[in-house]
Amino acid sequence: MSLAINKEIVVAEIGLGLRPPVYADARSGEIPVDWLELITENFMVPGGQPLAVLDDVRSHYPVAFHGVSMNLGGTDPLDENYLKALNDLVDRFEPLSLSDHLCWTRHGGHHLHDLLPLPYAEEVIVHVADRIAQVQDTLGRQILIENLSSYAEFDWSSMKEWEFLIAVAERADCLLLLDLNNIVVSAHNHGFDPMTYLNAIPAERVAQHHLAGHSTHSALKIDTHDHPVSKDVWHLYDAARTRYGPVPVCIERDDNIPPLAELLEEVEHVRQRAA
Amino acid sequence: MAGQVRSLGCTSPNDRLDVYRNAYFIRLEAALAHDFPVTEKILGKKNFARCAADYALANPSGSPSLREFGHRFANWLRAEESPMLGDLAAIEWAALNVFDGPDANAADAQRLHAFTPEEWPSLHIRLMPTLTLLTLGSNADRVWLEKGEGIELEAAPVHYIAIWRGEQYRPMLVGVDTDNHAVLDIIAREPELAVASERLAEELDPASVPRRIATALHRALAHGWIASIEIGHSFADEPRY
Repeated sequence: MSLAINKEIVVAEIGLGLRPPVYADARSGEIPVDWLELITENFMVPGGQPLAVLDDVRSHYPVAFHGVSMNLGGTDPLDENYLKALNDLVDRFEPLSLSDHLCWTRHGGHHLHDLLPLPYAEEVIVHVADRIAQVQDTLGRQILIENLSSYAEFDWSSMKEWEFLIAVAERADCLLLLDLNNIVVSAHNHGFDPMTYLNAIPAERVAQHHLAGHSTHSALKIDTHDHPVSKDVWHLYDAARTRYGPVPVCIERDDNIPPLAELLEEVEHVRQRAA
Repeated sequence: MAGQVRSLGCTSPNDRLDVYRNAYFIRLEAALAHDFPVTEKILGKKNFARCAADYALANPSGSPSLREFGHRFANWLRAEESPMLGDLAAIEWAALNVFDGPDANAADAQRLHAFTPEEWPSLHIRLMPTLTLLTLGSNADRVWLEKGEGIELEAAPVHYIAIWRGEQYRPMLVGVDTDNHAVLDIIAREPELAVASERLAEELDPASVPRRIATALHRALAHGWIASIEIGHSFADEPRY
């Protein structure tokens, strides 16, 4: 599989998370962004309003599909029904990109609806990369995998998170959605330097960035997506631009969502940095 | 599991795992509260949270989408809390299916006139996929219509309701009389009219069945509850959801 990135996504610089509070503006094409990112599972429905919304949105914007339940790292078999539903959605809406997380989300048939960290070990690299390759073969395209925010690391991890991420991406020949907020959160929670992480990732694998906010509880930072993008994340984004060049970036906000004008201020921050 | 988690700084492995443990229940409770807002209002936030946690323990999610997590909630409330709460949650679940259930066009209201009386036994009738028929033993329908404001949830004589998709994907609710409910309930399970008639004749005066069916179908067509009426049509190849 080639490493070529869909050219449309390279042109499409700034995206915003498509969430219910911005549906009306998105349906009428009035959000000044280049693309919109949706949570794939929210649109895996038989019909009704969600798909009608997406039909309208798609008439104005390219969209990126971002999944949370593919369970790339789990030991349950990959869910063929899920992949079929995803493929149907891809055929209908022709997204710029497909992404999910480097994590496990299901065990013993039970979905945990959370992004759970993996042990960073050689045998896990093989396991996850083979599953990603299986997904890419099924869908007939490269996918992007996103680094997590995490709050716990396994004692038997034998390498750093970024070493694991790179090894998985290279073995699976997939692309990376580098979430800079997640790097900041995990760096704080596990005591590493975010710049060490950033400098280790090969630029040719980085196809997209996420920027988001987080909160702090006790001694841990939590990836809540309920605050504006933090200063630390903006600083890391500046460093990422220097290291990787212009990479499409999406502003994510999932809770405590402010008026659209406030979200667009963050979009404008990205534009100013890109100018 | 805490024994496999790396210690670092002042946060213990257990505290680190607590982030995931707490988030699991918070996320599932939020999903239920989103899907059952009137049930939450009637129960109160504290009781609803308790029910959500108990439900989550008894019914781990089996779907990649949180949208499906509440599919057993009405039955669980009926069994574990009260049949009246089960009624209310069943209405809210039906309303949710109206919102994102399968799309279908309603059959023309005059569709039955296209068939002769001799053709009726071979008719196959497909109800709208987002139509739900419910049997209530409470005033949950009134409570739902009032969004839980200024009305107590209480027992009521058994009655029947239909919920279906209106304009702009809005859920519509109306009472259904006993006869119409009996006919539509059978047709939902037995789309071939000859078979539905036989089933109805087992419960009702056989001589009255044709009239009851005709009345129910005309009303259902007027409401837009019927997707198709065809002679000998097989639904085997149609998508199922």
